[in-house]
Amino acid sequence: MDTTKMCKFIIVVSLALCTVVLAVAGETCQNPSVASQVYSTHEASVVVNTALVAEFTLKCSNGVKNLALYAEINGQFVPVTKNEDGTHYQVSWVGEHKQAPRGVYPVRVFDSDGYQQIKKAQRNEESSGAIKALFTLSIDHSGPYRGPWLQSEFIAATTAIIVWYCAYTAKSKLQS
Amino acid sequence: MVGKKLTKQEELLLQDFSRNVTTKSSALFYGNALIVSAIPLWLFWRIHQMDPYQSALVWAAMTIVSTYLVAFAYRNTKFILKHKVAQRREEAVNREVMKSLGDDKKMSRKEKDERALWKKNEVADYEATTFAIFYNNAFYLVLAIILSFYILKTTTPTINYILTISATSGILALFSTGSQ
Repeated sequence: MDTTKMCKFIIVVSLALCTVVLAVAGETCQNPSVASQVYSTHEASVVVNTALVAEFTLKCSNGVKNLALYAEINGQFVPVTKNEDGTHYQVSWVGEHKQAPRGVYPVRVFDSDGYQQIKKAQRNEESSGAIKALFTLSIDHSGPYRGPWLQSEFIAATTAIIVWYCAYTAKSKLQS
Repeated sequence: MVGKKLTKQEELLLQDFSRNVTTKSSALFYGNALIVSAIPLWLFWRIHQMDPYQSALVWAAMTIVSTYLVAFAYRNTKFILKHKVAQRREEAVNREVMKSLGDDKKMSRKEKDERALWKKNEVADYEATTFAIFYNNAFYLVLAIILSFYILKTTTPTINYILTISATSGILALFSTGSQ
């Protein structure tokens, strides 16, 4: 009788432990598969700031959806927004042109656990570079167009002045 | 004296010292003046974004005024330059005419001189006409660009156009009335 009770107790505890493990494992994305689109500002003659935007869809092998994600983009940690059904995510950064020169910007994406580790590292004033991200995207920013070096009316005025000066010189020689 | 027929030499001298131009020169002047006065229209249409249909009357009026003033400047500049050109080209023209007529025994000395004078007048007339057109066109375009894109750039396009064209053609006409 005691042995039977003991066996039942062990089975119940094991099942409970398995349930807890599975519940915990269900919050983490296993083997993430990412499809992304990126955008960066290409024009600086009218636009005041540079924007870096990454949109992506995330598929986890364990079927987890609607994750709370956080991203490190250009040195800042920002929450990743998502749509209603939790399939499409977007992260963006906006700043002055000089803060985003031409280059490739890695975007490290973390889940809740990873973000907690980052916060802990920041509290302890440690580097967050060693914390493993869920996945990393790349934004290739080619740098914004700032307009031509010389304005067209300046070139037109300069050319016209040179031509007029040649004509004036010839007229002066003729009248001398 | 009244009714006395002028000699060819006297006619040439009168023509030389007169500000009047021939019909051909006049057509050339007004044609060029019209083209030059119409060039800024493209700038104001495409760069300053003036609407052609709304601005048609203003454009037509200012183009006519500008054409007249630019042609006036052409005439004055040509008159001033013609004598200078004639002085510079006299020797070369005489040489060329005498070379071509030197062997012609039937023509008298007086006729050869008249021919040389006529040729000199023709060369000076042509060179002065073309140079007057070139110089005034260059001056017109410089003034139009500087006025419309730098001095008047804060004004509305219509005001910019009226002031630019009137000032440009006015300055051109004014400077052409100088004695040198």
